[in-house]
Amino acid sequence: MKSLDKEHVKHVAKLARLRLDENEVSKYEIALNQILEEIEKIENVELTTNVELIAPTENHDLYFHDTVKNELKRNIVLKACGVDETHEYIEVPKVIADEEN
Amino acid sequence: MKKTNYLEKSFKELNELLKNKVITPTDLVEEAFARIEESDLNAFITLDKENALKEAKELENMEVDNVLFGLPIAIKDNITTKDLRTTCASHMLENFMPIYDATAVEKLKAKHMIIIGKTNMDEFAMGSTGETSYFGNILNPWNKKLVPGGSSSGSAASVSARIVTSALGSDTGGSIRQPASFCGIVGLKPTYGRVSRHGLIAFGSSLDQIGPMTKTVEDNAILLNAISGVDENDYTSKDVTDDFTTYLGKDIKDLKIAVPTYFMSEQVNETVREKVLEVIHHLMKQGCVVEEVNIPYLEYAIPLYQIIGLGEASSNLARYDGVKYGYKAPNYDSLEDMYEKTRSAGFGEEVKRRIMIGTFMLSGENANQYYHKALKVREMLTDGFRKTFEKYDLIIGPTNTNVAYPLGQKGDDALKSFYDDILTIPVNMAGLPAMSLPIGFTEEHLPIGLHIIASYFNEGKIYTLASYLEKYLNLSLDPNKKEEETC
Amino acid sequence: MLVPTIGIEVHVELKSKAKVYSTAKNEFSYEPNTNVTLIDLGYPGTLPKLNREVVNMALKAALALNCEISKDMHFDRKNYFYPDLPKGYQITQSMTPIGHDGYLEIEVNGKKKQIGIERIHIEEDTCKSIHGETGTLLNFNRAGVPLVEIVSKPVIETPEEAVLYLEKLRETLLYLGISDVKIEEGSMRCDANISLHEENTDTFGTKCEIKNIGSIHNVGVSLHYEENRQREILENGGQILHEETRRFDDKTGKTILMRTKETGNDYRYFPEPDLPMIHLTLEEIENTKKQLPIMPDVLRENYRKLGLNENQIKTIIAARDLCEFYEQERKLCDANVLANYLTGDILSFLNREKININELKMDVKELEEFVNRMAKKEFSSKQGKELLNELLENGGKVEEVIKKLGLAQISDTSVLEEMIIKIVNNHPDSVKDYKEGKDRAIKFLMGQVMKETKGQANPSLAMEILKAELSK
Repeated sequence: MKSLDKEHVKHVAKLARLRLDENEVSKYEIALNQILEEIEKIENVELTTNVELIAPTENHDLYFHDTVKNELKRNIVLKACGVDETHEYIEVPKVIADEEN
Repeated sequence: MKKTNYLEKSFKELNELLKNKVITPTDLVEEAFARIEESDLNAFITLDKENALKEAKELENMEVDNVLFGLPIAIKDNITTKDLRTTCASHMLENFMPIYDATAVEKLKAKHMIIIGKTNMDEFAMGSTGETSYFGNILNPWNKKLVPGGSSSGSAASVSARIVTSALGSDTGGSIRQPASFCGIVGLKPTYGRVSRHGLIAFGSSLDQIGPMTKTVEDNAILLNAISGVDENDYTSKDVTDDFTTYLGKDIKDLKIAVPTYFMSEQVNETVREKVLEVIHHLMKQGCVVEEVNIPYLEYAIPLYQIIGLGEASSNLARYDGVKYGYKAPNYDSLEDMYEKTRSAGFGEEVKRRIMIGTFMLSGENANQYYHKALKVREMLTDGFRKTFEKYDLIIGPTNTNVAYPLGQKGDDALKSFYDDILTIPVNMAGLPAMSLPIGFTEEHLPIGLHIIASYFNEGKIYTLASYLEKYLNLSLDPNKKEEETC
Repeated sequence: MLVPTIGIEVHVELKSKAKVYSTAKNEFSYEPNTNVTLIDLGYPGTLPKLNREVVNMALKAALALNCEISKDMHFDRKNYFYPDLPKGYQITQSMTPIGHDGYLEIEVNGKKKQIGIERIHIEEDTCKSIHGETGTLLNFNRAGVPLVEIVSKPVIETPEEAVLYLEKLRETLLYLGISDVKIEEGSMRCDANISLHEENTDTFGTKCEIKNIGSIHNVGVSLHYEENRQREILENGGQILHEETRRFDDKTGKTILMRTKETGNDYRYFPEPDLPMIHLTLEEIENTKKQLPIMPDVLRENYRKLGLNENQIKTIIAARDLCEFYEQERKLCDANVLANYLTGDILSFLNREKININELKMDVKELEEFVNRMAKKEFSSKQGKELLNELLENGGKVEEVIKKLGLAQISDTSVLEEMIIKIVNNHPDSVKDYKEGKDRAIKFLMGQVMKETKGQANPSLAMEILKAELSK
């Protein structure tokens, strides 16, 4: 059976942007292994379909047709982001000019 | 102040009193706040007394134009209310003041219901005891040493204690039905898409639904009428209109009812099983066909929930990063430092654990190995329900394996916290409507809930059976009157 | 011998009126954080919508790139943390890209070659970040702007091919009318990856990716640099150990290491539950196909047949509005003369004034008349220039401008005859020279005619009469 170690726990924490101390790492190591054991149950299910149920809705092909509406005033945008309404931008700690997409 | 007991009454009774000017909305709001002051349930995170009274006053000069007019209601604190703090019971959103109303809230306001406040809950709706709230745990009105269930703990407790006429909850894996059953009220999780999720702060996007939590079946149907309907802001909402009150009191004798073997297995508390069996026997006597069926894959509910539900949750909760709305760590020396400090301090233990599980489930090869397989098993499970509903009108069983249990009992077990929901999760996986209806008490006088599940958009059939049973059982469901009766 | 393998990834902003998942305006604005709805902020409780126009535009692109169309589509979430990503995930298409397995045909040294397209999919843009001294500023105007990402197969063999591919791709998207495709403004962004491997083996080398290159030309330059850099390492017995992400510095012409890639990015893709499935019907696909505009390759062939030179063809096709204008007008007046002026004086005027062809003061009917009269050589080219300039600057009717500028031509044979007889009689020396075969003489006499008429003599008619007089 698959199991995961402390390094793996740290990797997952890093992905989730959660900081764990060594104690927590040990705790999660046990917890995640326990969950993994539970989850492995579905490994044994013999599939009788290839259909993936993403969401239980029969809705499909819903669109809007390129109409512009519901735009917010800038002070509202800033207020919604918890920023002083007189600013122009939302500021974050300096990011190295790198990209991700 | 003279103590009044109007909030024990049903929507229709209150409506008559309001129409005949025997009482005013202000009387109801004042009674609600008087009851809150007396209560030690910790059912609310934020109260809105000033606005509630102001609105009640304004309504006094208006015509009572609908059955919900002027009635005080409580809203679970993961449903956005404009300019009224919405915290998800999390430090992360402790000071979050939404700038818009959820569609369901908008609809209630259009009916002139009065929002009393925001109810306490498990943090981000993650939990089944109410104990994961950043704002402290909630007590069960039937026995204050016990949990009220969760995550819609405060909504269930406040309706049960007759603090408000009714409340909105949300249900991702049982979060309306389980606390409804633990607190002895009527809680319905509508069909996925019946009620708009616009304004419901997402946990598991393909599982979440807002639903009504009420004292009676009739109130429940009326409240569902008010909040349901298609919404251009939620592409998973569907245009099916219905008047649920028309199903109340309909004849039940032609109903075909299925009872899944899995629902009545050993894992269910014996007293609970007995109560459900009593109901089944009675229904058979009334001419209903009640048969045991086998619905495959029900037993995979927990792993499905952990993979799909928590996978979605880990993604939905990524936006709380200190950049925008919500908590931001006060000191940090870089962007990454800000992220980690904000999220580690802003989320509670249970939320972090679930984010970890969900992140793990989607990371690396796991998405292929588990997630996509889980979506297929979910289809297979759903197909089992579809096939059952080809032959039967309803599925029934117990809502939970147990009744309310002592605070603190769940402890810190990663798995245990999911096991409360093994009978309710399959319904969310399939997107079906289901209700928890009080059908009796244990020897310790703790409420027991019956789970009534229907096929898609067939809430009407649930109301037919529930209204019949409510009338037949005629239970006394006010915990405030428990002492009087047992003494 | 070591040979390069190159793959190109392009992000293109689509120019729908609204964003892809929200009804905010999709338009550049000098006012930051104004084209924003709650959805673009990833505001708690909000859910995405879907703009049909974006699906239409992406479908056009997929069809123009000869792709197979995914008739059943859903969206996926790509999860990662970055301040410019409001939700903590990007809604994209991972499993069901709208188009896949297509190709684009380029011409390499006169030989046609198909560059395979692996996929084209719809996704959303991120916030625009402005990196300041102390912090980074976020502008949500760009968050949710529709993008298509187009990924080539790793089949490009030289930097030159890469440039040709990108030029062709840019041209194609421009002609579909779905994007401005301006690299300098960010509406087209190019990443290129390159690896070297021994010819005739099928194991690829370790690749390096060069991100966000500022121009198509620089894609070629940076790939050349990178090819040489890798070649040097490998030929000296070294190894490319890690996949690297590099940046091109256009001042030095070198690529610079940004970071080595971790063992694969862990984007935790999963299907987006908030947006329902999409089914494109065969009919929808066929209708879109029928409505695709004429593509540049076809236009190029047509223009060659008309006799336009390669420079003119290139200039017209490079600017889509110019080309549209030409397509419409070339049937209404002399196509060659029109091409001449359009790619010459008119284009210089447009560039100087920074306006487009549809913003001209000059009425198209007048342009047609001008072109036709020039075709009939009613005016000298110098007069034509003067006349056109006036029309471009101030508009008006050709006839009136001719009068205004005193360009009204003397085309009255009797008037010209009388004047020319007089000139011939007054310049017997020149007549003699002419008869002795000195070409200069007739030019001198024409000059006298023009002088006498203040340049208003119809040049071809005057020449005709002059020749007749001289041969008497």
